[in-house]
Amino acid sequence: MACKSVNMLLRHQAIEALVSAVDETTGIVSALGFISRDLFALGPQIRQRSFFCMGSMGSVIPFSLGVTLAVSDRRILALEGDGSLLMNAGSLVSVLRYGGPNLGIVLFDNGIYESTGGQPSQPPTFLLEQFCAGVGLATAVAHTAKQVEDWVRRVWPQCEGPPVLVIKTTADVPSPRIPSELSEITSQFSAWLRLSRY
Amino acid sequence: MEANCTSRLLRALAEAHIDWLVVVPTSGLNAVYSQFESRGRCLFVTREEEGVAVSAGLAVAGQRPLLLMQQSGVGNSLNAVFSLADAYEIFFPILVCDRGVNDPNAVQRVSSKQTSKVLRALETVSINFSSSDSPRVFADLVHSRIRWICCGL
Repeated sequence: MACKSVNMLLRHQAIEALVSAVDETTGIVSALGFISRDLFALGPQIRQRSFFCMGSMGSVIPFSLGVTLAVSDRRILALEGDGSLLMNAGSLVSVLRYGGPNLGIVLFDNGIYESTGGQPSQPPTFLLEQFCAGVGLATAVAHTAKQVEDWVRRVWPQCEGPPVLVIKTTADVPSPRIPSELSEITSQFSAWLRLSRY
Repeated sequence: MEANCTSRLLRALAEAHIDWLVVVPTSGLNAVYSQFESRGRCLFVTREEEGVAVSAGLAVAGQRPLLLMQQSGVGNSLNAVFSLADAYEIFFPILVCDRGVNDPNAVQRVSSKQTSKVLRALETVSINFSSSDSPRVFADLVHSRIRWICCGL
């Protein structure tokens, strides 16, 4: 029987653990709402190699797939929420079909639509990690910062295909809204992708 | 689509320097898919909305994708077009293949009629691949960063 975990990280703790473990050559694409806000709040060194979605729910994973197909020598970390993943769940199948090991998918699994007030995003018997594994993607689960860091540093580099990490998180205080112009986010990320290859 | 139209469409994509095809397939364009598949550059996606995001990712990374869909997929794509491609000023063209109001399938007839209203609102440019100059016209539209382009099947 499916069992929801009781050990969960605060969202910002999970993001900090990811960012501390990932190297400077890895780009990050983050989902709308609090995930992007928390990532943006970590400062300019992160911002220059990140693409912050502030809409287009469910687009992080296919967008990241497109980037990694274009720049196969660059790693991209896709940060997505469980609610927005389910809006575009078929994208996991496309990742299985076309994705490479340079695409790492991280799902923040809190079971709610946190940015809109905490409505449930899943039935209680649903296990996101089983869903991803059922698609055929190598899927791990993290409950602690150490497990997150270990996945980034040790597990992901050894994967032959695009791996998934499901981080069990709980509701958290949001960071401020992102003040950047959207076109500025595009041009900065695009420039980083170009510069970092030469 | 007639064979000579398909060959003009292929020439159009070449003249526009399209290097990736992102598609939820519509019938009659196997020759187009095959050519891009032979180069490993045809991506069959599960939904048009997903195709918008994949195309946006390719474009941000410097590639030149075309998103191709049947008119019945336009509705599925709109939020991602507005809130990702348009909002973040990421250009790639979308070629909508319209089955038309005389299609033998009643659903497609309604879809074509209703979608045409949406395409007009999106300032879609129509192109006819039975015309000999259509490859150049298409390339010019792409060069001018016209996002929505529509053709008959």
